[in-house]
Amino acid sequence: MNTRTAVFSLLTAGLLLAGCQGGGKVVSNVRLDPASDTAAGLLPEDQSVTSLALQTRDFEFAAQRAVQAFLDSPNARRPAGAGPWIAQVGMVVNDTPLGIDTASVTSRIEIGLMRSGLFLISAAGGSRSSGFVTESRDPENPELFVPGSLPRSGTVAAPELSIEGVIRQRSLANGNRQQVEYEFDFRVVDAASGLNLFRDLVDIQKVGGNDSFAW
Amino acid sequence: MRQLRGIAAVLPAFFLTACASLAPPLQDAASIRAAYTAGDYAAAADLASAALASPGGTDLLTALEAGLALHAAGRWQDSNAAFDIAEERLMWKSRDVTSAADAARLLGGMLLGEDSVPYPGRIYEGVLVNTYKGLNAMMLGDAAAARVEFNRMAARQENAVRQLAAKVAALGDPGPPPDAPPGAAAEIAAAGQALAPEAAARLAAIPRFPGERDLRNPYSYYLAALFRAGTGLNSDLPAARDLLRNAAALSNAGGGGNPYVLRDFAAVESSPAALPPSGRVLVVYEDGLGPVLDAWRIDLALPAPGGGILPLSLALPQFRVRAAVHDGLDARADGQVYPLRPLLDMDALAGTEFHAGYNALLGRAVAAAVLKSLAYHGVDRALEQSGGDPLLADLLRVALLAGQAATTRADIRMAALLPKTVSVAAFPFPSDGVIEILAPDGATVGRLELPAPPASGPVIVRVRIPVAGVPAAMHVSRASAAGPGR
Repeated sequence: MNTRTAVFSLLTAGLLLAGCQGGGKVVSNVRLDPASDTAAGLLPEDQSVTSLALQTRDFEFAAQRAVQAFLDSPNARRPAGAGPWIAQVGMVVNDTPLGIDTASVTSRIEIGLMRSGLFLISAAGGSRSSGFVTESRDPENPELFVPGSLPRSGTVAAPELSIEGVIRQRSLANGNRQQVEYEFDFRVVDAASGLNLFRDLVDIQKVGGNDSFAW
Repeated sequence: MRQLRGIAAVLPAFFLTACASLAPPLQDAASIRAAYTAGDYAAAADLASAALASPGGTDLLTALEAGLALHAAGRWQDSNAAFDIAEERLMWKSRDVTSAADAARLLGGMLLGEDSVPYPGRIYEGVLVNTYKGLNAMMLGDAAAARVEFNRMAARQENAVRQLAAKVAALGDPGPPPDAPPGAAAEIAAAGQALAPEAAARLAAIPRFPGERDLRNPYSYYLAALFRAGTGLNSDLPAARDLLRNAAALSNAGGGGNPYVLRDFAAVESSPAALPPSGRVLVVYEDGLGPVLDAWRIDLALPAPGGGILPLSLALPQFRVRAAVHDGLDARADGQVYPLRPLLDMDALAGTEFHAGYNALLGRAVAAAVLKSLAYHGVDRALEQSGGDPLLADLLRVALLAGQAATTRADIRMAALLPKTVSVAAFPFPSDGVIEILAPDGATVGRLELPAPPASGPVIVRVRIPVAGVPAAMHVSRASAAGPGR
């Protein structure tokens, strides 16, 4: 074997290996176009699915599904004249290896519930509470404000429901492909009865190349 | 003569490439190491910060050493920033060739020297990067970040098994683990006896773990278990239980064991809520320095068929372990002494991965040597046949030989500031909030006043002594509550 043959063999081997790659395309059960959403199975390749990690559309999908399922649930209805539920966003734990902000999904859930007109979201408690509620009652410079214009104590509406959840991930590798499964596990807890008023699991599956971790 | 000119034109490019790859890209890492091993952790951390701010970017090895130096200096946030960079550059798998990029790296390494391609990292380094990031987050009281990092750590541990198990199995029985330190055997036996039959059965139910003893990292599992147990979330307890089982099974594999891990495992098995989520002290001691790689090389001049010589150069890395500083330290709290017991043997962990990949390494080195020899032989014959200036031809031959020698280099890169062993002790929070760390001869290594115990999770005390004679780096986690991580 002369030098040229050796170099040629190595280059050929490299090219052949390059040809074997092909595991990089990502498919998912969630697409950019909500009309195509399905939980039934993986859809054909979609250019909008670019990553095994969670994308904006995935949060949108999970939030929409959870909100719709809750709104469809008989437990979401109140007697006529009872007014909207007052809910707070409780703890949503990111139990995945992805450095995601759970607000990406909880904000969408808040928006969906508020748009339904059946829910008001409390900013007085929970993981998304606003310091404004307490600060406005005990301001740093009270002399700045018109006397009597500060909100009084005893006026904050207590939340009746808490929206909680956890996002989990499992990863299964097989050859040059890997399947990553995300599980959005939501529940709504009724403060008065202590019961889970609603519970839903939203699954997102992605299959792609086994050449990197999903995060 | 035309051939001679062609070779003369190509040679400078060849030399430039070889010289570029010989340039010391890791000077930053070397400076950090020098300050760190001199016990000047603050200086090492400053050097690390400067290296991370380098406009040219930071290579993986420098980022690894920087993360470790910043961790030893107690700069948890900065340490995580360094490890973030390291994580971006870490290759996630073994060095098998499965893609075009892998093939290009392989070819580049063979032709220009194994260390001429960017350092891809090792699987156990990836596990430790996420472990340190998780620990840094725990030290900062950032439970959300710790949860993510420990999940990544667990994914990397599974990946280590997927990538390396078959190769490690081919290596045969790793032999018994190192003997337990004096006094530990009785503690381990007592802790083992405290295991309920059901718990013992759960340990025995993972028979594959003995074979994976040095592929998985029990210390990382233990930290992750204590994190989960300390979040205050009931939903975390099953995971804490499984992680503790993993840590116990791994540290137990082959007859060793860590009494603290076993006791915690026994407790959590008796009742999932039995592991104290708070009000405890966890002392983590990192002793000595982990293994390093030395270069071993051979240069031969073999007689070539048809006359002349056939130069053959081969370079390979050699695994070398370094000396321990202390065989063990003790922690004293409330008048009671708690010996720190080993949980991680870095020599075994790194050695297993190194030896699992050695055959492939040897194959590449031999192939590269043969390829370069054939190339030299081809050029030599071309020079013979060219009929050009014999002096110029000889100069080209010498240059080619020098180039061959310069591009035959073993890849001896690995994170060099990792500890040789990690030992732990876990005990109740002292009534006076003071603990002492004692050397084996009873001398005080350090005295620490602990902050009030957090609402959840243990108070973590980190002790690091990399080299004999240097001061210990000691830090205590923040008093803030760990919380569940949102």
